[in-house]
Amino acid sequence: MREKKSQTDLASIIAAHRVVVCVGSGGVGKTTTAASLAVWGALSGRKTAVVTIDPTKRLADCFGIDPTSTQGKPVPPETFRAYGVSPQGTLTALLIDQPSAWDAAIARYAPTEEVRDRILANRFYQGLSRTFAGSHEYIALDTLASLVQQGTYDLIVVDTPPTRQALDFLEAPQRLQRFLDSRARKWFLRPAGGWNIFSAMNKTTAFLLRKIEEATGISALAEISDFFTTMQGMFDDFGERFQRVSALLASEETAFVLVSTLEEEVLTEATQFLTELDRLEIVLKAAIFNRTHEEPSIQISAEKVETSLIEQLTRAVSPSMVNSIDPDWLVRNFFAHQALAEGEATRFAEFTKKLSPTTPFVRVPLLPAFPGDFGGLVSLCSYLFPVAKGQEPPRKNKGKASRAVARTSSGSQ
Amino acid sequence: MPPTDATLTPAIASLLQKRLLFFVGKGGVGKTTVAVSTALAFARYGKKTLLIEFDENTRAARLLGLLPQEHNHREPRSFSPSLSVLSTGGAVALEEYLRLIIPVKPLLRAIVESRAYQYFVAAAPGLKELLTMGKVWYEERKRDPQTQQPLWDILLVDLPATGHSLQYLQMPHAAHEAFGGVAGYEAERILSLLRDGEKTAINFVTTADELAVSETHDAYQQVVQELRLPMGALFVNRLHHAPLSAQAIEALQVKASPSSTERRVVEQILKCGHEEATLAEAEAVRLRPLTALPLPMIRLPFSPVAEFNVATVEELSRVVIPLPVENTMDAPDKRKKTRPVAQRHP
Repeated sequence: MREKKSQTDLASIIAAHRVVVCVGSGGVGKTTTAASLAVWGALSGRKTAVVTIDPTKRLADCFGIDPTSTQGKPVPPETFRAYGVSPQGTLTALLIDQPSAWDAAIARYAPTEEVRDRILANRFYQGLSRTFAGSHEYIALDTLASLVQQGTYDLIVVDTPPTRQALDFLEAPQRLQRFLDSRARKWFLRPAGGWNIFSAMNKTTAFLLRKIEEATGISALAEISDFFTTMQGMFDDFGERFQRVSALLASEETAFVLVSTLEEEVLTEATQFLTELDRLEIVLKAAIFNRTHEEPSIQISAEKVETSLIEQLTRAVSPSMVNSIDPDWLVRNFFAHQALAEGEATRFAEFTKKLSPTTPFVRVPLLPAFPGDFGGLVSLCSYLFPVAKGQEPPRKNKGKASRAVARTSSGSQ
Repeated sequence: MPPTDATLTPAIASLLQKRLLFFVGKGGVGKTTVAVSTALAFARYGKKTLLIEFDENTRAARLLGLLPQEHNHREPRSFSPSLSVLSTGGAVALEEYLRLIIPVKPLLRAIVESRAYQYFVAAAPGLKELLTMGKVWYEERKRDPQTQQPLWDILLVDLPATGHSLQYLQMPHAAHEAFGGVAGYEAERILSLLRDGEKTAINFVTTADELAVSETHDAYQQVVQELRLPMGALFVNRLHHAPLSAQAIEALQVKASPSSTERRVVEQILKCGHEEATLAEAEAVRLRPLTALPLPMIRLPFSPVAEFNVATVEELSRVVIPLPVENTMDAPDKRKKTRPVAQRHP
């Protein structure tokens, strides 16, 4: 397998970049993976921030995230030490809470308190910031822009919002800019006295728009117009800022890392990601496959042997236990596991062919009893950044977790 | 031929009484799989079923092996005599809507292609959601022109991932309050259908994943307490199952001589069994917060197959509603490694 490729591995990719953006479908363990990459950053001496969107409560708690504030404070070194590691750097988790982050951004940019209050009270604004699709992406990027500008951190790991339109995140700046672009704005701007949405357009369009307006209700348009009018002058700031983020995302400082599983649907989406990245001329720097099933070290191909396997199993355990083991189930379960692993192996081989030959990838096995706490993140590091041959990965937890660790090391030797 | 009601769990029996079922869940939990399996089961039970999916999501259609279709003309497509699939979305719904107001084709094209229109759609967020829900409302109202009977017995809606699906569910409410004109009126009609507990039920789909569980918990609070919409069932997808405990498997002593092939085979089998049992136990713990909710739970097994396809959803549909008694002989064991041959609507 290519995990042990010599020239680049995940560790050197993380080391060489200032911003690491984790992309991938929902439900693949993106948040956990991003958090673990950040833990690794702190362990290897960097001032690390992880920008997370939707952590589990347990994860938020162990990061010390205060849900009422968007300002993070560093994870205390004791938290690391409790799991047998000591950080050379620091780790700060920042939670993006959509509405309050938007409100904070407005407060930052509004020239006067009056303007701020007016915007905050605008229903179109409230809808945009609280409910509507796409605003997650805008605000995630805004937070990223602030962090980069502050210069407090030398590694920023970003967990992107779960989205089907995979790279919405990336295109958000352009879309926002288009949305706020001056030609669009003037349709919605209300000059002194009256609202002139139709005056800037030709008559046909005006007629047609009036039709849409009838269908949707005029109050919505009035609110929108008011929003744009009040926001006037603040756009330039926003636009400039997002342009900077766009440039940053496209720059050498940023690494895009794909997080995926080996499930069919997920890989189909991951393939779409690759195409989109290509289109945006962004190079994928690494890929991480979570919850993978290893093929059993012994292949038993013919299903005919089921009966003999059951017999073997019955013979192999002490007689006192035979009655309690349900050998039928064990054998069936084994075959199910084997089928699953075979399917994954085929898809894995196919998918990795689509990656550039220099892109490192890592397979993380399914961890049946993965603890969703800080210790879990630390143990995940040993899978993401396997230590050189001969050295055992750290065994943090007795029992189940160490069993899984032992399996990986024996599997790769 | 509907099977006897003895095959129905109370939760499923109650869902079968409704007209409109929504499926809400976090991205990646297999919401589409659950919606498709349930639709297949209901159709086999004898209900004339319409499965609706939104936006660019055409997974349900793909899962059922329906070919991709033209972007513009989207009408329900039939998978079998009793199951049809409709892939619809905001842009499509808005255009359809406009077609009603502006029947002149070139004029319609001019508007849809104008930059002003694009800006309008972008600048009036929520419109898309509202009109898509309007489309659902419209399908629910459809009648057979001859018999005047409803065209569909039951409609199943596969909503987008939680955050976005809540937008769909709350849009009629928001629009009712915010919009005037036709949209406000429209919103009111949709809202009264959504709130009708006789007809509508919001179902939650989750896995035993920690994040999915907490998101489901939040979504439940929002749907039932804030939006005050009627609830249906909680579908727990991809559950692992083991008749043995991980501890019992670990305690087994293997007699076979060390380094023999037999020993390696046995150890491998036990290791897989241990993994399955550990997963099942961990899942049971993680699901606990949801067992407190007043929702009937429908458990669907993890499908350990090499390739997930229509046969897999057919198999899951038999967990939702088991086959009638006379057919249970060839109902496959859900744990069996061989994939069953797809049986369409026996």
